[in-house]
Amino acid sequence: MSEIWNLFIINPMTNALLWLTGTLGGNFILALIIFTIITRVIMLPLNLRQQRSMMKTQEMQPQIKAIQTKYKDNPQKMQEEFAKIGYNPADTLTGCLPMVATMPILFGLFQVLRLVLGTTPQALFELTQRVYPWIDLTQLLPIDSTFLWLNLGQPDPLYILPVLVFATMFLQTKMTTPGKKKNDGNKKHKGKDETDPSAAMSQSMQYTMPIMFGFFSLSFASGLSIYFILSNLVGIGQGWYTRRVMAKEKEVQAQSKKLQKMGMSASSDEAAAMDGKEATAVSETKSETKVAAKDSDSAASDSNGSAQKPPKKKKKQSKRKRKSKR
Amino acid sequence: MSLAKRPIFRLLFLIVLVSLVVTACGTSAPNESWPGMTADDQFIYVAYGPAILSYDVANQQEVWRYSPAETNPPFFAPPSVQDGRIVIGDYGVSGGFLSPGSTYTLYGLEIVDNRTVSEMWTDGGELSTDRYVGEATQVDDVAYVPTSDFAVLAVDANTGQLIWRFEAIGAVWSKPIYYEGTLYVTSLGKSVYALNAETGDVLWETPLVGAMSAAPVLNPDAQLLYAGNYDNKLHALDMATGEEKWVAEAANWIWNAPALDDGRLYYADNDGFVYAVDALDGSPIWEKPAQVAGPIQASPVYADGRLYVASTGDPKEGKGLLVALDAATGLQQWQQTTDSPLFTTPVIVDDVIVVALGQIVNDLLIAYDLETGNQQWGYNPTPGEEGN
Repeated sequence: MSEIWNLFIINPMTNALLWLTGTLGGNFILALIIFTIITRVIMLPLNLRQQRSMMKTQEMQPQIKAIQTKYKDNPQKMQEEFAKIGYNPADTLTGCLPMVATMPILFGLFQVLRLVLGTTPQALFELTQRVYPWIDLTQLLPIDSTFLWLNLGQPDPLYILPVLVFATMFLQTKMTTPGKKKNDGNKKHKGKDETDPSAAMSQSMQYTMPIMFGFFSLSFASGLSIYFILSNLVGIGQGWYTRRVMAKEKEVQAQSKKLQKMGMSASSDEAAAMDGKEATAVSETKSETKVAAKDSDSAASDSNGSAQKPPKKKKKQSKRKRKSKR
Repeated sequence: MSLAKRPIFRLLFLIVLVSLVVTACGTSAPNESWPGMTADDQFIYVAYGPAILSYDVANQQEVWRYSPAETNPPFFAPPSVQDGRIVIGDYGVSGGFLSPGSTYTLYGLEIVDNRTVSEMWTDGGELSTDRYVGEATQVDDVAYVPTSDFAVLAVDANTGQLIWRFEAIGAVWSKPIYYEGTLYVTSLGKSVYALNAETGDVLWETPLVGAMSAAPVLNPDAQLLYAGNYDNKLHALDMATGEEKWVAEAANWIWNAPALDDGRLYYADNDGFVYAVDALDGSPIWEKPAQVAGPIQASPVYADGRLYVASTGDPKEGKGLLVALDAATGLQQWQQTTDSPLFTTPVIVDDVIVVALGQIVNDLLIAYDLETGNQQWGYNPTPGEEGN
C-alpha cells in the first residue's frame, strides 16, 4: 500500500513542487504558493458543492425539523417528504468528501517538504529515487529553504505562523459554514436551536479546529504552516464568493417566485375567462340536452375554483361535445 | 447522469481516498539518516540514533557507549577520533510542543584507557542552528567542524571554545581536509574552498555546477584535489589555485569521496557504476566501468589490490550489497548481501572489512573476511541482545 501512496501522492507532489521551483527560477516559496493555489483550485468544485449543500441544508432546517416531527413514526413517508423539498440526508455524508480528499495532500506534504528541502542525506537520497527523469535535480539543488526569518523545514521560532494559521482557519470556517440564524427574540425557536446537535457541533468546530491546527503549527515545518495559511486564504475567498453567489441566487429565486405568483394569478383569471366562454358556448349550442347543461355547470365551477387541470377538463368537454353531437 | 454523480463511483472514490489516508498514517517514519562510522587500529566508533559506541574488533565486544542523559539526541555524523578525544555534533533535540525549534549540540568526549568515555564539554547548542552531518577533522588541538548551518567551525578540541567561523554558500556535509596549514572544504552550495586553517580566511574558492556531499581527496604529489560532484563528474582542481585541471565522467551523481591509491582513483556513482581513472589526467584504466546493483552512496575502500564497494542494493528489495572487485581489472571477486541497504563507507580493521547497516534488522555491524568475503561476526547493539 505504501507503494500506491508513493506512486499517486508523494512522487507527483514532490515532482510538481520541484518542477514549479525550477520554472520559477529556484524560488521555492513562490513554488509553494502556486502549488497551494493549484491544489485548492483542483478541490474547488468539491468545496463549493460542500458549502452550497451545507448552506441549503441550513436553510431547509425548519422544514426538515417539521417533517421529522410529523413523520417520526413513518420513515418511508419522511423520506418521501424529504425528497419533495429536495433534501437528501446522504448529502451530509458526502459533504465531508472535500475534507477527506484534502487529507492525502496534507499528509503527503509532511513528507514532501522533508524530501524536497533535502535537509538530511537520507532525505536527499530518497529524493533522488523519486525524481522523474525530466527534472534536473542537479541544477535545482540546493533548494533555498530560507524565507524571511524562517527555515521552511523547521518550525517558526517566533510563533507568528501558528497565530496566522489559527486566525485564517477561524475566518475560513466562519466564511464557509452557514451562520447562526437570528431568532428575532423568539425564545421558543432559540431554545430549539441551542438543542440542535448539528448546529452546536458546527459552532464548536469553528473554534476547535483552528485552535487544534494552531497548536499543531507550533511543531510543524514552517513550509507546512505556510501551506495552511495560503490554503485558508483561498478558502476565505471561496467562502465569500459562494455566499455572494448564493445571496444572488436567493434574490433571483425570490423574484421569480414573485413573478410566478403574479403570473399564476393572471393566468388563472385568463383560464377562468376562457372556461367561462366555452361553457357559455356549450350551453348555448346544446342547451336542449341535460348533459350539456351539467357540463357547462361543472366547467363553470371548475373555472371559478381551480384552474389546475384545465386540459383534462377540456378533453372531457370535447368528448362530451362529440357525444352530444351524436 | 455523469460518472461522478453515480453512487457507485462516489463510493469507489471514497474508498480510494480512505485507503490513501490510512496508508499515509500507517507509513512508518523514515530513519533520519544512516550510521556514521570511523575506526582506528583496534576500535570501531559508530554513531547511530541515540548513542555513540565503541566496538573492540579484536575482542568482538562493545567497549563503551555514550548517550547524553537528559536530552537523548540522535547522532549520525561519523565520530572524529584523535588522541583519545572525540568531537561530534548531533542531529538536534526538539524544544517540545510549545517551544518550536531544535537545539543542535557539539560535544567533546574523552576516552579513558580505551575502556570508558566521559564528556569534556558541550557548546550548549550555541554554535549551530542546524544539524551536524559531516565528520569533524582534528589537527593538534583544533577541531574543524562542518555544519548544515552553512558553516565550518574551528573550535578548541579541549574546551569547545570557538576560534573562527567560516560562512559557506550552502550546508557543509563533508569532512574538511587539512594539509599544511590549509583546510579544503566542499559544500552543498556547489563550491570548493581552500581556507587558512589558522584564521578561516578564504585562500581560493572554485564554484562548480553541482552540489557536493563528498569530502575532497588530496594528492599532494600531483598538487591535485579531487571532488566528486552531483553534476555526474569527478573534478580535479589545482590544490594551490583551485583551477580545474580535468574532469572524469560518471553516469549519475557521485555522492562520496574517491579512493586514491598508487596513482589510481576509484569512484562510484548513484547508478551503481564503479570507475578507475588515472589520478594524474583522469584517463580510464579499466576497459569499462564495473557495475554493482543499486545506487552507491559510500566511498569505495581500497586494500591490497582489492576495491570494496558498499551498495544500497535494489531499492525494491531493501537489501544491501558488499562487493569486492579486482582493483586492476574491475572484475568481481566476491559479493555479500546484507539485511538492509549499505549507505555508510565500510572500514577495514585487521583482516576484516566492517559494514554498518542502514537499519538494524539482525545486526548493526557485520565483519567480512577481506580475502574470502565470509562473514566473521555480527553485532547488534540493542540492549539485552548479544552479538552473533
